[in-house]
Amino acid sequence: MRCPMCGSVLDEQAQERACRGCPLRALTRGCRLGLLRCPLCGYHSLAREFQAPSKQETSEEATTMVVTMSTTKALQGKVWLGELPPGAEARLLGFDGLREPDMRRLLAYGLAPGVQVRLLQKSPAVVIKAGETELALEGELARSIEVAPQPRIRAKVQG
Amino acid sequence: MARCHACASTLEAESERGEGKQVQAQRLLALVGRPNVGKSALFARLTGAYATVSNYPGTTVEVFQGRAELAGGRWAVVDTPGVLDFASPRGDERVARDVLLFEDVGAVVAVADAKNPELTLQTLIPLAELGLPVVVALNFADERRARGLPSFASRLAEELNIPVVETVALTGEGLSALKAHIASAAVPRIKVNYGPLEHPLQKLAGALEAVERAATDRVKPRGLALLLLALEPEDAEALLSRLVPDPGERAGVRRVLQEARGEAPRPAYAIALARRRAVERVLPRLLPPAPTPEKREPKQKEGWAERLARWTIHPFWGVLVLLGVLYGVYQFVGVLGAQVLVGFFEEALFGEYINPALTALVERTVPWAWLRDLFVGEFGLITLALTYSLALILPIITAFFLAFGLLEDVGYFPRLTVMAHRLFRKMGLSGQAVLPMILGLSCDTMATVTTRVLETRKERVIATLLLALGVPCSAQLAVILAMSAAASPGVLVGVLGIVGMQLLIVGRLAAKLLPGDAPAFIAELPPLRRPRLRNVLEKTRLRLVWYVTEVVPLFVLGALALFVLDKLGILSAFERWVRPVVQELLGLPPEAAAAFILGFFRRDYGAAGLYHLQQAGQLDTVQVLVSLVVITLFVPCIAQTLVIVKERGWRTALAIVAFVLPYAVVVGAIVNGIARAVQGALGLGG
Repeated sequence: MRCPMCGSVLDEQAQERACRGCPLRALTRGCRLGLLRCPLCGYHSLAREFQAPSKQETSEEATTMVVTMSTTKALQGKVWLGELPPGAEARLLGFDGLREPDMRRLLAYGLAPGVQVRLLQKSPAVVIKAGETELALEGELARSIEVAPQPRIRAKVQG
Repeated sequence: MARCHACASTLEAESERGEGKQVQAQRLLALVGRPNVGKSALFARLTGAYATVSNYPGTTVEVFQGRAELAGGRWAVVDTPGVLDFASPRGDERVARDVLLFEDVGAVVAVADAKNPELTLQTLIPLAELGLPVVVALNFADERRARGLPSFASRLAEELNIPVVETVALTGEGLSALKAHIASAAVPRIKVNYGPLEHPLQKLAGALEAVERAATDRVKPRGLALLLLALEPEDAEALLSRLVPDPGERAGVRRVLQEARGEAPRPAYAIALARRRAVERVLPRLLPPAPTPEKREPKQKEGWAERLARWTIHPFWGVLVLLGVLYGVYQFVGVLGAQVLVGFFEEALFGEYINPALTALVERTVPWAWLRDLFVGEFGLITLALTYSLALILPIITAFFLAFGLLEDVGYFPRLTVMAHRLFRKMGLSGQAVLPMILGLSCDTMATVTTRVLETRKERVIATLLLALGVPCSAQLAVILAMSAAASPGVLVGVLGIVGMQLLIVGRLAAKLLPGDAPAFIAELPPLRRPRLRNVLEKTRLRLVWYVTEVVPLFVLGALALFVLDKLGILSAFERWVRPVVQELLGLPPEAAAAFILGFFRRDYGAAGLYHLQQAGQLDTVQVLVSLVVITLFVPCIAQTLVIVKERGWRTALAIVAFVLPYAVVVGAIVNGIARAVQGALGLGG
């Protein structure tokens, strides 16, 4: 996708984050109005106004975008496990923000940086599946676990 | 089956007694593994004895011990509590650690879930580092096959140079192979490089090597050094003082340990991470290249169990499932158990045959009136103790144990924690505390013991307090179900609602007052499994045996005490003294005072006394509600109080009892006042 206002190519995850804090989203779990919001310039409008970029653009500018994202402090390019939608797959990156006892317990349950997990549900607790093991985590904990979302969902969104 | 709390002493005594006369020394086999991998079921298969086999973590707080004829003769077998992390601050995991370090373990059966090769390796690494000879039992092998996943047993055996057996503990598959391989147990061949931690680690191991260690010559210093580094400082100190008896040498080791800590920040995390990397290194050699997700998809079709499992933790359906489960238990225990079965036992069997016959017998043979009263009087051993415990409680509790055992066997409880953890958060408890509290519904005394699985002192105190305050135990809950089924279902909703509210209020306050915060909620959710009828029946049988042998005698003792108090006139004096409270404040008949006194001995006797009053038509609906609220919130039974003293210390125990007693009365008085006012407004009358 590309913002019609500032022309930047949008990453699905960054776009997700931009919508966070929108009061409508909390009520409907995902935007029912079909609006999108550009994380950089803040422009928001109907999704169809955000046209798909050409193929060359995607590869080049998307990379630029990611760099911008991670360096822009306000947007904090990090993605947290607790913020992914149910059904998403992700690789755990780290849980440096957690207290040591919680870090140790996660490791004891087999959750370590590098492990591939699938998010099954988010309420009343976050439930994830790692291998054949199903684990329930407190939402707050899941929101402190940094992840790299796997391409599978991105492909689905773009396609 | 011998159980032991402090584990070490009893185990040693047991094996020495066995060894004395035998030519061949009896050796100790320890079952070790993560929670919920089927250790207890495997233990039962190996020894023929039975430890409660359940689908939820935290069952085995105590160490179960049995004997088995295996390859190489007779073995003493211990089943240790499930371990996620040997360096954990939790009490149950410490017990498992102590068995491995301080018992003369001849071999370890590392029980692991065959579905999870990563965690299997994670279990084996600390055992390898401690230098313990291991046989691996890959349990739930059937579930791995059912998922269409290839076996990794032979590759694991080859890679780590240890015997590996695939087992299905519930059916006994692989058991003879496991027994045959015990003799060839070997130390797993896996080495972890701890990177920057290696240098301090080797220094510490060297220091441990140099000193005289108590009873741990079999254990490798490197494994001990890793444990000491990963433990919390105070736990490390406790372990050190057991390991190194000489104070001078201990001081030396302590200095090295402190230096090592200084060199490596967050050692526990670093160690866990390094182990994880080692697991990842070995893993590809165990499994053929993973099939791509597209290929795997069709095999992972959701069965009924998976779908049901999903519903039990759904934000909406989960609540419905929970309500459905509660309703089912209410119907089964409150209606079938309490009305049909009790009707038969109490009215028909005891009321018409046993009691009249025994009364007649006593009256014919015993010449002294006071002795007759001892057996068949108001507080007689037969008319009160046996009638209450066998005719009233036994049928109800049997129904409850059946229902509880079934839910346990299916594996519903861990899923319940998912639904309940937010509520518990509000009470200052993490989700980990949900299980002890649910166990409280079976027996508060046992549940108070299991609070030691909680990680912080704050949580342990709050959980103990709430268990003492308002978690009804099985017999009591059963009587509540029975009484409300007889009065009106609204009473059940009222009692549970009011008591639940008190738990929330008191928990909340306690959470505010006590320092510290609860650790985050993390729980493993084992798959729902089809219940095994035999398993449920066996568990119910064992619990009933416990009830009859340990609880019924207490009942008799309680009746005896009441009898003595009655004869000495103390009871009537006490009743006169509390009458204004019972009659005016709570609006209950004076006889209820005796029920509350009985409640001191065991909560359920108090409840049973009330049940009796209700059956005699002496309680109206409001009185049923008030009396149930008060008896539920009332002081814990003697056994529970003793356990609180043992686990939490005198001061905490005293504070808890001193708080709970007046609190129960005040809440009862408020409920009485409101209920009467409402009743008056509606013009229902008494």
